[in-house]
Amino acid sequence: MDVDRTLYIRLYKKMFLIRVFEAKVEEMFRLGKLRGTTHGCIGQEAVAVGVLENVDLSRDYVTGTHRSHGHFLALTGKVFELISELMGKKTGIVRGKGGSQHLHYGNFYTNGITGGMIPVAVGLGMAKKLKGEEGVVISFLGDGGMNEGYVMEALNLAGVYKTPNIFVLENNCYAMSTITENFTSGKFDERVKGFGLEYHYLKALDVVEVYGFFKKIYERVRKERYPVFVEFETYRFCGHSKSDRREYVVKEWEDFWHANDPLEKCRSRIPAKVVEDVEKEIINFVEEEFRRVLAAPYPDPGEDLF
Amino acid sequence: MKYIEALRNTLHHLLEEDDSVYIIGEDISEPYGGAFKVTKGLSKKFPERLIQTPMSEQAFTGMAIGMALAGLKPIVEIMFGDFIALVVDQLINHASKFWDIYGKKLHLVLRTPSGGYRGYGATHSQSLERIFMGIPGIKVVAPNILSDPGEVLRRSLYLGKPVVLIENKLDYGREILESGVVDEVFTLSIYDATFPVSKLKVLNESSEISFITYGGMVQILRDVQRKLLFEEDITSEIIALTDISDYDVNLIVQLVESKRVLVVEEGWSHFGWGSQVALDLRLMANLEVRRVGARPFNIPAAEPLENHVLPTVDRIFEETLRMLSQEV
Ligand SMILES: Cc1ncc(C[n+]2csc(CCOP(=O)(O)OP(=O)(O)O)c2C)c(N)n1
Ligand SMILES: [Mg+2]
Repeated sequence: MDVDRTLYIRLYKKMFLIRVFEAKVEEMFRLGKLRGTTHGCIGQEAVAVGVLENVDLSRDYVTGTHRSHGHFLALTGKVFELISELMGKKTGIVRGKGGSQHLHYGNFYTNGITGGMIPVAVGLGMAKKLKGEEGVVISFLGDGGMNEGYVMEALNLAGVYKTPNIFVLENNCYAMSTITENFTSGKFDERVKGFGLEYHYLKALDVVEVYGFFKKIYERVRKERYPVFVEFETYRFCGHSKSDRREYVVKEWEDFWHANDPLEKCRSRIPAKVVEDVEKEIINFVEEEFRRVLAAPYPDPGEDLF
Repeated sequence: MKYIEALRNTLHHLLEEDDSVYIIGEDISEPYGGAFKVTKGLSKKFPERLIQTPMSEQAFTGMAIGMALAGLKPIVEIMFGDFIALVVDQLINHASKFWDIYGKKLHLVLRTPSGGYRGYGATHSQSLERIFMGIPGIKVVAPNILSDPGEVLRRSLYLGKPVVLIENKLDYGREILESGVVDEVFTLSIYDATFPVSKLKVLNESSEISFITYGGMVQILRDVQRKLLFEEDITSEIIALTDISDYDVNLIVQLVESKRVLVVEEGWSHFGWGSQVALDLRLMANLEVRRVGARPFNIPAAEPLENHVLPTVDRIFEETLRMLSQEV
């Protein structure tokens, strides 16, 4: 088997795991077995997987968003801990205190205020710089988040202080029901360049391409230590959140991305027999983990609040 | 009528009656009609009057303040009450100052849904209205199901002073009660001050305990009220304020029938709204006053933890029994 194929298989396993997980979460909501809300990333898996395959959580920081199940699974593969968190179980990664939007594992952090982690990420980068530590900070944000003032301020700070930050914009065309390009004056690339930051762009169709593209940027920032901005064009096939009926979508974009689903593209590079085995294994694994979580204990106010 | 319908109908009427009214916010237009669907359908009829925005809360709140300074009447929707943290400077250091220092009336309402009990976690469940209480030049108003939320919204817009209007996520789907006899054993009276004050009590009985509250807590207190009456034969009254930052203490004191008052809020008790209300009552009348509110933790997503932090029927019920077991 060539190197390329092994890589496709490795990345496919992660992408497929994320898709199965998110579909299962949607099903659980439909059945009324989950409280709260969820933001799925079905369709966007190639960005999370391709980018984070490069990252080493023992020295890098990663900040996510409200839509970070995929980021977490790409980094850790910990299905039991994530579904526990969503179900408010003590076995969740933050003991059920956070729920879907407020996750923490090692050097990975997420929060529910869109773009709010971008200034914080610059702070993590600043700390790395001041302490003379190796490693970089990778931060995801959405196209909608690009219109928050504090995100723009943070890009300026990163440029001024030359922090080792990589900002990863997952441009999935929509912010909730808002078609972002209709509510954005000018272009993101021009904005970013206006702050004097290096800007890169890729349409995230092929996970291996995302991986290789990001690898070069990542390795350079690790060595040369300056802020870089990467925009990925991607697409969300699922609703914004559990209750979204997707009445606002643009047909042309729907058609394009469904015809070019990055998961399918990745699958097509792997022998059918391997695909079959991998998928069966992952589906069983996810089902089993969901079952295990049902039996897990709930947190206890006396022990778990402090 | 449902609380959400009352708000939506009033928004509709305001747009129809007054050309200077605009609605501003994220995802408020069709097909979404707002995260909680309060503005559903309005952009069809008034396409120019609903100004959908990108996610730029601080700037579009500032924009609304500018529009109000120029004589328009903007109604801003901040999608979740938690996000009002993003617009604090525009309201506190800008809008509240204009009213006073420039001597300018501002017709400006900032609507936002507050509160938890839904498992949404720390940044989507808070009751942060406390931030604006006690700031001269800003009024904090909260409708509830014991009077017409639409009327509260209308009065807020015509007040001439910036109003932060705190809605409640769980109230949206609830029915508004009509004044008069409720469920055969209770009676609801509405006192028409600048903003209404409602009292729901046991019919033809004096009350052994008075609950003073606002917003979504009314529903929880209705459950407490029934439980007290049917399980313990204890009569209680719920006094629900809508003007929560400049309430009329005299009126409240007149309405309180019992010697014991429990002030109930969903927000954190410590340094909370209830502390001020309790003090105001104590200074004015010889009453035994206690508070129930959220415990001092970030609001957890997990159900048992969230129910430990936020006030529940059981916690208020227990506190009531404790108060009643003590001599006054
Ligand atoms: C400050 C703030 N405003 C609004 C929201 C509500 N909200 C959550 S996600 C979202 C849209 C986000 O769009 P984008 O940044 O493009 O990310 P995506 O959801 O597409 O991943 C909105 C409006 C929020 N969580 N925080
Ligand atoms: Mg988006």
